Amino acid sequence: MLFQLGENEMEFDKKVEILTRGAKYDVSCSSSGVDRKGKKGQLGNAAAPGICHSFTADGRCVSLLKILMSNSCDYNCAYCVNRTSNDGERASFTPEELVKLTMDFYRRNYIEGLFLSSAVCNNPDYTMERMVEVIRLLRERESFNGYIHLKGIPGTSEEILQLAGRYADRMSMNLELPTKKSLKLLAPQKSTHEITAPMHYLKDKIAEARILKQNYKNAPSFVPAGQTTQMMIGATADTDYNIMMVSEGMYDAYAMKRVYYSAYIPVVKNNSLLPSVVEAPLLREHRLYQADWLLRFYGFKAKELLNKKHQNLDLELDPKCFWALQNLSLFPVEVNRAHISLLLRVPGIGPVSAQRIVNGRRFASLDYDALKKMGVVLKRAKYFILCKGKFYGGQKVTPSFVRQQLVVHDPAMKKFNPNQLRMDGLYPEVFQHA
Amino acid sequence: MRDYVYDNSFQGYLTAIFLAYEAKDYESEIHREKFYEGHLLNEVIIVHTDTILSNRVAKGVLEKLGEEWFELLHKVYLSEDQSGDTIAFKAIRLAFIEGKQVLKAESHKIIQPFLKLGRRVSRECHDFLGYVRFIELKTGTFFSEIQPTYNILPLLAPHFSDRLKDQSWVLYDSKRHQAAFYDKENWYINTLMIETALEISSKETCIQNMWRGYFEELAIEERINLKLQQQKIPKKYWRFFIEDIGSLGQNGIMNGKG
Repeated sequence: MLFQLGENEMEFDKKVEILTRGAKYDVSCSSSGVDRKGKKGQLGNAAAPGICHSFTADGRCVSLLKILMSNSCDYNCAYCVNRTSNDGERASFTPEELVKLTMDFYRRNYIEGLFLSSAVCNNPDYTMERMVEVIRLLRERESFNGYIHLKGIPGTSEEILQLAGRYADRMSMNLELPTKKSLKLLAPQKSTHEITAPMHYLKDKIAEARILKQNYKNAPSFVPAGQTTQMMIGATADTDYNIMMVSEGMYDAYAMKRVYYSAYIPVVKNNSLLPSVVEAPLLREHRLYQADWLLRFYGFKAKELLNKKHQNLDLELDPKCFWALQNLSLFPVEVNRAHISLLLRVPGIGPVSAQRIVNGRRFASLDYDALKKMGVVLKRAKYFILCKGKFYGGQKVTPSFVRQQLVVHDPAMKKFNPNQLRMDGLYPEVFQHA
Repeated sequence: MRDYVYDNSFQGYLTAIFLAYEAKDYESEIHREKFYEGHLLNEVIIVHTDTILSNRVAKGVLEKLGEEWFELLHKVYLSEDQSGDTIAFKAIRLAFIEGKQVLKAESHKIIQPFLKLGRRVSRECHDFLGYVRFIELKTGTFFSEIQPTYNILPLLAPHFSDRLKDQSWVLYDSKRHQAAFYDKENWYINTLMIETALEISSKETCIQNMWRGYFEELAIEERINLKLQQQKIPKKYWRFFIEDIGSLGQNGIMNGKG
């Protein structure tokens, strides 16, 4: 078989670059959630925990081939690198080109599968149909059995979503911004309804397919790894409280697998209206992810972490520490007796450590050294626990003392520049009517 | 005290466990020939691998302790740790007395190092599921060279035989001169010495370049964090990647930041 690269090689390489540039700001990288064995004569399988294949110079994981079908967009969302009014090279793939690229990369174990997204060309349905054609070819003609994540275009009709769901492992409709008002400002061509209606449809169909699958072994699958969404942070004045309340709603009402947060990065730089040096709010993004984890794996409610008084997460302290210092009366807890749900609330103890403690203490009561040996990180935990009745946190614990100890030692504080960036500062003319 | 020394094979190891158990030498040590340096005061017993005996141990572990224990035993063996063979022997002995749930005694002085070794091997194995890079040869076979810290080839082969089902491939551990071979049906492991350079397929260079270009483009300038990248992919693995790990890119897209 001869290897064909479209009309000429240079052109195709360039295209890959352009269409990667447009896709890379999408945060989702996970390839988790489905466990699918390989089938005879087919290529590929899917591993439930997901597999990272590489890490880029920014430390983000590469799992799926994350790329756009096209970056010629009819929409003009203020935050987006692909918006109509942005100067920049435009390109599109044909379905055949994308199929070939995916297969060639997959056979070399570069990737776990495909993450296909696109700018909106003509209308949502037209765009989505072309994307579905790519994954249909992969599944039906190439017998590709690897992971596929398909981005949903707001406003896509149910007929096309239904078709897409047959081939995709995971789908995502991006919320983009946490409030209707912000969306209206920055993405006037998208409406909240156009985003949430497909989410609703997917949620119902996913649940339906799951029930069918339990009863009939050969029932067709529909987005078996569930749906996810993404919000941009730091582009508008929305508080962390707004954001976390929306996230909690997403997990509860739409059974989202993940909500991703992406620190807004100003993608247009040669504009004289914009400040020349701006830092993306990476630390804030980091804190939001920590809070998100607390919702999903630690049994926290958003209202415990944030409220009308504390509308934003503390940048100096991780959200669990912050919560623990507000609730010092609950601590210290005895590691040999505390219920696992309480262990999970101890700063520094995660689900793995908590499980190890619960397992280990059934055989012997645990002292400080035993915890250390088991791999429990005690840097933060020591201020909040007792081991066999003994406290190892030094002098009397007060919120200000612990805070001082922890802030100095928090590695996140060294890694990130906490400068906040808000889009209303960048586009004052857009926001003065808000 | 006795030292049981076996021929480096897993079967040999299981045979050693059988013999030590039979002689009630519970305090003895087990070593593989490759690493054995001898001990002045200890009596050395050379183990002759016997598949009947080793199968009895395998069966006993699987039936009495379950798959989880057997897998861990295998992984600790693959860790090639100096004291791993003795640790695993003691852990197995403990489990036969206390029951298989003793595996949860995370702080126990025998279980703790046993689990630690097993987890290290599992972790490297999981990382390599992603880090292995295949190169297409002129013959159509896909070839990959690796140098993992632990001897994880037997753990990687089942994964790739399930995933890359319709292509033949060779996964070559050039540190141990062992390779897993897959012929679209079955896989097996054998020794391999490569003396002449392998010829790559005509389209290979082109696809590798495309991947490099893609990878470079993917990094976001404002987020550059080479330290984090190195934390995720230790330097010892870098030279087997196709893409440029630890670099800010040829075209200077990062403008020297970072």
